[in-house]
Amino acid sequence: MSEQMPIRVAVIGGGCASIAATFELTRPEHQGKYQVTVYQVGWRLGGKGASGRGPADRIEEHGFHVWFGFYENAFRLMRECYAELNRDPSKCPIADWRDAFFPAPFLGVANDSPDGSYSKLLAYVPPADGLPGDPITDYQPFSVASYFSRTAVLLRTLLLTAQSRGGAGDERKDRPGGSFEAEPNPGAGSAARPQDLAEQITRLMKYGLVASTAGLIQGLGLLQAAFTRSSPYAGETVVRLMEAMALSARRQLELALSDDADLSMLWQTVDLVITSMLGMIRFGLLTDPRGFDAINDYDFREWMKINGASERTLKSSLVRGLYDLVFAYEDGDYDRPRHAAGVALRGTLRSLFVRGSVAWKMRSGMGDIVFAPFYEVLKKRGVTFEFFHRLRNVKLADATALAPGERPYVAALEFDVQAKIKDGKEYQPLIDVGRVPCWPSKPDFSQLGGGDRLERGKWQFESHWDRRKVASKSIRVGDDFDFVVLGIGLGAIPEVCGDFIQRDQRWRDMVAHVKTIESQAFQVWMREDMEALGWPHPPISFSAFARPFETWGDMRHLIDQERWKDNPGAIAYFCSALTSAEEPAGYSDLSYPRRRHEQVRRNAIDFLDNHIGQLWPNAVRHGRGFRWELLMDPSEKRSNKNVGTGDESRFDSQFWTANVNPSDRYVLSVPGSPKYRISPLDNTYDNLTIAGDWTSCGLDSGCVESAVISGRLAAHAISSAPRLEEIVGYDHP
Amino acid sequence: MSERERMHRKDPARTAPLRSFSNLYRRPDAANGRVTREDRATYEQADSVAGGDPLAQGVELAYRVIGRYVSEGRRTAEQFNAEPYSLLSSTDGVQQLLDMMMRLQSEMVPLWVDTMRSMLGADAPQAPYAAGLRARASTNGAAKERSAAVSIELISSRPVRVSLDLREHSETLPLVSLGLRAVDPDIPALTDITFVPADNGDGRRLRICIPDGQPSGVYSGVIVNRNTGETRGTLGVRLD
Repeated sequence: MSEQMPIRVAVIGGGCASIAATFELTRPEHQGKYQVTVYQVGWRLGGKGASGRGPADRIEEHGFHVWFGFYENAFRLMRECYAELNRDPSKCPIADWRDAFFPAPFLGVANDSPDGSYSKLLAYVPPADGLPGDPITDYQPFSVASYFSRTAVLLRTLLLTAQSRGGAGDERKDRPGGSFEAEPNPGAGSAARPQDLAEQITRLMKYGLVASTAGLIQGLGLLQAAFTRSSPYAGETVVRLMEAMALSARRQLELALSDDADLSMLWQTVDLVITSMLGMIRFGLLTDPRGFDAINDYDFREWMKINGASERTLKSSLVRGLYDLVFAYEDGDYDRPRHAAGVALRGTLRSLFVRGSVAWKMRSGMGDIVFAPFYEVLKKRGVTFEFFHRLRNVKLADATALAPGERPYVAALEFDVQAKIKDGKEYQPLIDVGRVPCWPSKPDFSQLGGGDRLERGKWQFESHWDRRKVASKSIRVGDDFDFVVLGIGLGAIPEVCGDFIQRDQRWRDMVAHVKTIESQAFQVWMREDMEALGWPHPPISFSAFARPFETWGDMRHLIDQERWKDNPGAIAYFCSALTSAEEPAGYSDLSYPRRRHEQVRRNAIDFLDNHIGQLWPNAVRHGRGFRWELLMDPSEKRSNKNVGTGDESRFDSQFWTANVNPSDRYVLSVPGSPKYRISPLDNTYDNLTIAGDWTSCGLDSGCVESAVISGRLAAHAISSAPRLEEIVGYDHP
Repeated sequence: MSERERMHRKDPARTAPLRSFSNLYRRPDAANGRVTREDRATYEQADSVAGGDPLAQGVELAYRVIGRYVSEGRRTAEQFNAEPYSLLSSTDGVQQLLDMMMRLQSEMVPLWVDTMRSMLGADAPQAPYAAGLRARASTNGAAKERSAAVSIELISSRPVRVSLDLREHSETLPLVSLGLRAVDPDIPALTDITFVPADNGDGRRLRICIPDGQPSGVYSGVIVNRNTGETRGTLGVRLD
């Protein structure tokens, strides 16, 4: 082979990690050194982030996606992608990354009461300096010094916020600081009355109490750490005394705040922050060569408890929201919340370094905003996309044929070809919706050979259980590819990597210990707007609400992106973990996805009937009982008078999904499991690297940023670029 | 192309993140972002002082840690007065609270630096902090004391990566490893690790023996002064 011949890379899967790896390997700086082919099951890219346009061009997602402001790697690549794409804003309304993403500063959690009711705690998180993906100008943002500094700023912001709540009435709505807001305060706005003045003074005292207690506990903790290090034995009595003082201070404060929901929330936030920082010192995480991984055998709540967090804080909606955010329930069982402490702490601290906004929403579907632009850029760079290719086996070279010292390697990749394109052409996957290139929810059968037959036969290309194919294909190392990036989901690994699991204990450990779960989601389009439904607040990302759909995204911004005969008044997305089935579904259990789909439908109907009234009081009758006539059927007009009161069958016109395909399963970071992850940098197999949020990638949690970091690492493993120091946050304690 | 001409991946320089604390204070990479004028001045001064001397670099590292923290604290303190919160000027209670927060901040810094000192070793200076840092750095940096090296002897039938992080002047001390352990407590520790005088009599030789049946994974542990029990460094082994 001459040196000028391109190196051929087979990328398996089209999710965030695979696309990030492809984007890196085909950068112009490589001057065409890497020739990449992406093999994708079905008709669209995106993996767990795939979306499609359904009836009325409505957007249909796997779940509710937001990008957090600390997704530095993801935003950096996304911005580079849009810059390279160079869309003409006069021809495409989503031309720049700022068109594609917009700040979502309103967050909320539900606070549950013993009687089963929920109160709402809403927060406006003020904008931070810079924008995600900007060059990092701090000396080293992910340093302990920076964390302490940012923590001090956070505490100050929280305390100022509490003060303004106590004395400023409605002025808080316009104030630039962050705010917690509980249920509407009847006394707000009438600050001149004597009784209100007394309330404000009382509140100010409580506020001072929070600040004093925070300072006391933080100071005690630091003293403890200093004592322990300088004299581990002699200082024991003093350390115990300080522990007792901190415990007493916590209890007294919680007693004083028990009648004030938002001050309690403030204190719980402060308690979490302080406890985390003190725990870092007490556990010696600052010097441990394993960094925060040293505490990954603990559950996050367990570790926080060891470090003094109060029971009330640990049971708070804040902590529950943290678990909800990452579906951290083993087997989807809410009675088994499990999240590795080191992973949780790292993620929480990284979130202190948001830039621009704490969270960002996408102006359209994630497929349209993320994967269509990447597809277009990568096509221009010469990447080949082989749609309708389902990986069946990654075949290792015969171990007995390896030369002495030769590392094992992938000899062949075996695929089912699900469909062939007519006349040997290339599949054109995108459609135009309002001048925006988008992915459809169904394949374009007209482009497929025998497409009519496939459509009539209802071929489910993305279903793990639909094994129909039109051909088989095997590509071989040397003949067809040189390197492999395996970017499928972890749930699919056992089926396609049998050789690895048979020969390699580390792969056996990985698939045994790194857990995944199924997830569920549903979306509703409603005739009335959010205010009419009884939600007067700004568009929110809301969590810790009633199960089984504890996370809600107000997606009203998508109304103009869809093509309804009459626009809906509101759009809402819900998602959560899906409790595992009693029996694992075998590959021959063809009805399994249908049963799970029906279960999600039932879950959604029950949820709307029994719980949604606590968020949208006008969407229900007499406190519960969803008004089914609110739901818009794409085949109807908004003004249709024949709907009547409707019944739950109207839900069938909405969208819901049970994400049960093995590759769609969400990866968890249960205690004790991160050490079993394998890095994309691992070179046990000479021509293979792995990519996905399930790999050992630094963050080690299920999210877009983890996947992108992993993809960049995979590219590094093959090309030595990007340099590891350029991967933001990879080298983090 | 035949299979015999198969391409090979280069061995990576490393296969895991650098989680160590000291790494956090390395120089930011030019490709990773701009360097501020203040930082650049710090680097230039540090370069001129530290050169390639390990002792001076260690001192510089400690100063960077503390100097940066003080700088961040100052910046935070400035923000207290700079940001236009209308409530600040109008409410005495808030002003008092800010005073309290400032006191808290000022009390935290010495505590924090003390903690840092115990972590980084005796070379890091004590409070008062900012003003005295440069002078001490220059003094210590000028010493230019060259430390003896530690060589490593590895006895293993499988590929092993070793990372050794020793504090300055440790090479002449009676060092001992307390064993290297994996995160999983069920995995047996690596215990056959000894320090012996180097063959040429200059410095020490670290001898690591890996049993054949040892499970793959990452093992880590501390190295201590046998006489005093003081921690002198860390040792990590990755066994493929």
